[in-house]
Amino acid sequence: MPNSNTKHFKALIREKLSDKKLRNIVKKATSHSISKRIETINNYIPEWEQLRDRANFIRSKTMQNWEFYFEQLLKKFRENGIEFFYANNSSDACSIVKTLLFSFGVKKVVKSKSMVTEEIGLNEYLERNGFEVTETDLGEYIIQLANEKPSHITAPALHKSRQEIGELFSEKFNIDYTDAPEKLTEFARLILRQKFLNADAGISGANFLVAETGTIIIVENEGNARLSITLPKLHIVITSIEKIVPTLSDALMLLKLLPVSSTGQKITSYVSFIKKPLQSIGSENSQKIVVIILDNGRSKLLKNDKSRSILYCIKCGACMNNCPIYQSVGGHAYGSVYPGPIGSILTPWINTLNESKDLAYGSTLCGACSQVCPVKIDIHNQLLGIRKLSIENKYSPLIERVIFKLWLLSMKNFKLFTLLSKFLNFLSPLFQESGLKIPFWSKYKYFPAPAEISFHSWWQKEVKIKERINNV
Amino acid sequence: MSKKILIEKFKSELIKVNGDCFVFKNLSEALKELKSIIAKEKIKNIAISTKTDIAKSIFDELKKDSSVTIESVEELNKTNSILKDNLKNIDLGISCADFLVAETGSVILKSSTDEPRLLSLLPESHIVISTSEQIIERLEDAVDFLSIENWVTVITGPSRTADIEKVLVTGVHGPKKLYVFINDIEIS
Repeated sequence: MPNSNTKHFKALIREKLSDKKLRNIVKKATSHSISKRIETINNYIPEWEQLRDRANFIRSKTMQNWEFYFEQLLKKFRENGIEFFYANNSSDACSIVKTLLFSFGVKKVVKSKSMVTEEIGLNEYLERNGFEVTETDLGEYIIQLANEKPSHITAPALHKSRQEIGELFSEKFNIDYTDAPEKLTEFARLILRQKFLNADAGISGANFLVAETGTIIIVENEGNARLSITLPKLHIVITSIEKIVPTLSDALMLLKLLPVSSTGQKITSYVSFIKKPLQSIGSENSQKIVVIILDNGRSKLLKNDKSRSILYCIKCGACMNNCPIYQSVGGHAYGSVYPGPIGSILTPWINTLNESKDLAYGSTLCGACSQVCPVKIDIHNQLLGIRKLSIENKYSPLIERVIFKLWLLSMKNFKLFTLLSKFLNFLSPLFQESGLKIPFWSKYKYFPAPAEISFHSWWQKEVKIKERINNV
Repeated sequence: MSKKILIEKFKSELIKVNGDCFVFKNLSEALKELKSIIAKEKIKNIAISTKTDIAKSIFDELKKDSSVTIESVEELNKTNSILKDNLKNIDLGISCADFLVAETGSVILKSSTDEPRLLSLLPESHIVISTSEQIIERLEDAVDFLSIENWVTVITGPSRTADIEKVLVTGVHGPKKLYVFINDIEIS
């Protein structure tokens, strides 16, 4: 995965934790989303928990029978005149896009938000190949101008303050500094409107692909996705295998959960339902729609009973908003395309486990993520699952493995257990009350002082005294 | 639920998401409100879809108004010109609803050559003409329509973003203003 750098998670965590300004911005933004979500559920949706059960059922039946629904979807795409590609990995997906753009003589591309294109590193790839690519979602546009990566899956510029954005705009466009969100938004509107009108191709993601009808559903607030898929004559949809939904009713059901979980909105400003390419009007050429579905390691999950639920995700971002770790370090600390709890369990499957195993340890296992997940993914269990996998693969440090081997042996052998605990009791005077600081183990944690006498010897002594009293 | 309750629910939901709703009994009421919006938003150029009779009447009446220029999509289609060029300088787009959703204050619009998607997208203001008979309780009630039609957009309020410090700003890429006109057929 070209766009991921999860190897330095520990170092990045340290760096981000010391950035107080960042912590304040992230905390403020996530708290805002959390309270909006709760407000809407409390005021409007008494049946929220039942909806979650239903959503979990829909997602689990779809992923268990994925091939069936996939075939159905392809048949509908063919009937509806929508071209289709299956991309095994990032480089396949990128080269399919490049070939398409070349064959259509495209020079300028507008893009609406799509995390899958971040995953495959599409922007950098297309720019290297000479295309002009413009992100049009306001948050994504800000990130593109700043030459950064999104730090949240639904709010990409969450980590940036209005002052930073104001300075960025004034520097890039040589305009007077303003940090008023209305003015900055209006300015971006004017610039991006010209980009839309002159674009040769539009690239978007998709929220749902309906197997029963072949409908592509795109959920958004700004209108940039609608412009991207309407103005250019070529529309490329880049999405991943888990976006399939059996029926339109199922999709509408999931749509009740997605915006609420994400921003607290009952529905977003725009939801587009697209079945066919747009008809031509007057002298215009007709539109072409191409759908690219990315696998990138996900099909391994389809076959995995224990971890399949990772694919239920509908990318709402509620788990990261509610995660105490995410709130403290922000999305960039993870170094992965998908940050937060869902990113920590998905990334090891689309990246290598060895490189991204540390992410699963960046969690308190409090389970807040699982509680807010609209499709009821057992995220905290999956986090433990990744830890288990990394231990099974011997990715944990040697010293840790040796210690646990010894512990296991002693738990199985009473004599060894007694010997080791006696040894620890013997060491007890060396410890201070707060415990012992062990080098290379932790800067912040202390190894607790062992008791002077083991429970076993204490018990034997107590019982013996009692027996003596009873005998008197 | 009665139509009256549904209209009230629709109205209150739409206002919550920064849209506006106007219920009218006859053409003259609609025109009066329309003209006050035109004055308030300083609208000069209008494009309208004349799919329904009421929209046709509005088109005919506004044509007599010399302070604005108005074109129908039907006429524009006949000129064989590029649609986006025709619509990019339009201040107000007027379209005809297929359904109104009370639960969320949403408008359901299908796209067609008579009423292209760009009409509800490029202009800064968007007005939707509808009747009280088009109102449904929930989005699920339109599932058959959604499965038959090829291009449908569900619109709920004006275009919006909160990408800068979660501050809500309306009118990013789509219309900055959305007005829904409902012809209450029972009263008229």
